[in-house]
Amino acid sequence: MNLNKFLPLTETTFYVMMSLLEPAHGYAVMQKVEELSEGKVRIAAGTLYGAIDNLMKNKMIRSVESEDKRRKVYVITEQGREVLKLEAERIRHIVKVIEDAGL
Amino acid sequence: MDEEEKYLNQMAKQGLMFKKYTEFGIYHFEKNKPEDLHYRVDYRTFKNKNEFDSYVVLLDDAGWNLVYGNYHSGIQYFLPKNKNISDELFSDVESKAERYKRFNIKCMTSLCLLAVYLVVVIITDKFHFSEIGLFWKLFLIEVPLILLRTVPVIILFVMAIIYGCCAYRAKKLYKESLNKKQSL
Repeated sequence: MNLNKFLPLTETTFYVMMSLLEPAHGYAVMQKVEELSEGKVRIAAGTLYGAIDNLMKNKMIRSVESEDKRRKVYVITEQGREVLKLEAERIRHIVKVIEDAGL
Repeated sequence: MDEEEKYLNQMAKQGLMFKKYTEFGIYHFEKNKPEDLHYRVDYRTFKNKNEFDSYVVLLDDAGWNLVYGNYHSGIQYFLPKNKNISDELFSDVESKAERYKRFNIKCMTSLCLLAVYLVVVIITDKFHFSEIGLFWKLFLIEVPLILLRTVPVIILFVMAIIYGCCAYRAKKLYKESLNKKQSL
């Protein structure tokens, strides 16, 4: 599958995927995103649910067994990791273009 | 959508707390002391009760109380646990636009179902008439029956128009909110 079609990631999607490098449930993702973005990105609950739903459909994340029956726990998939790497490559190139221009 | 939230907030200011929504646009309120509340509405459908539960738990963790909604209601109402907070359910343009899209789909589905129903009623009506050759003789008996059949049809017809308008507006809002993003 051509993973490039998922790029560029939205800020929400990017931070949700990054938060799920380790298994976590929904609310933990919200806290993790705030931490990773140094408080700059706060994902609202409805947006997060939608993002998780989309990521599940596209097999970027999967749900894992957990002791907490009420809260679903998610973790990134191999495909999700690949997409993050592609995104890093894309951003690296953008940064290079900007720096080459002397900005 | 946004108007619906505003409407519920205004009712709460008058001391009418929203409790429940049933089909055909009927809102149930409960009298209480007036309050400044910030209702939020979402339009989601769920594959099963499990999905719905994990959705409610996530929102609950994030500080939202479910006021009304279940896994087959297609509409969910929330209030923030901290009443002074007027947070949004959505934090980016895409997800907000997605909500309009879901609402549009909800309206279109209802519209299609109504259309199918109307067609079925009209077809069976025609059969009805042709079977009764002595229409005028039975006129007096028939009139109340026809009324009984047509009144719901008219109501449904009006509802179909309302659904159509809602769907159209939702689509417009969806496009507008996406355009707003492009112009940034």
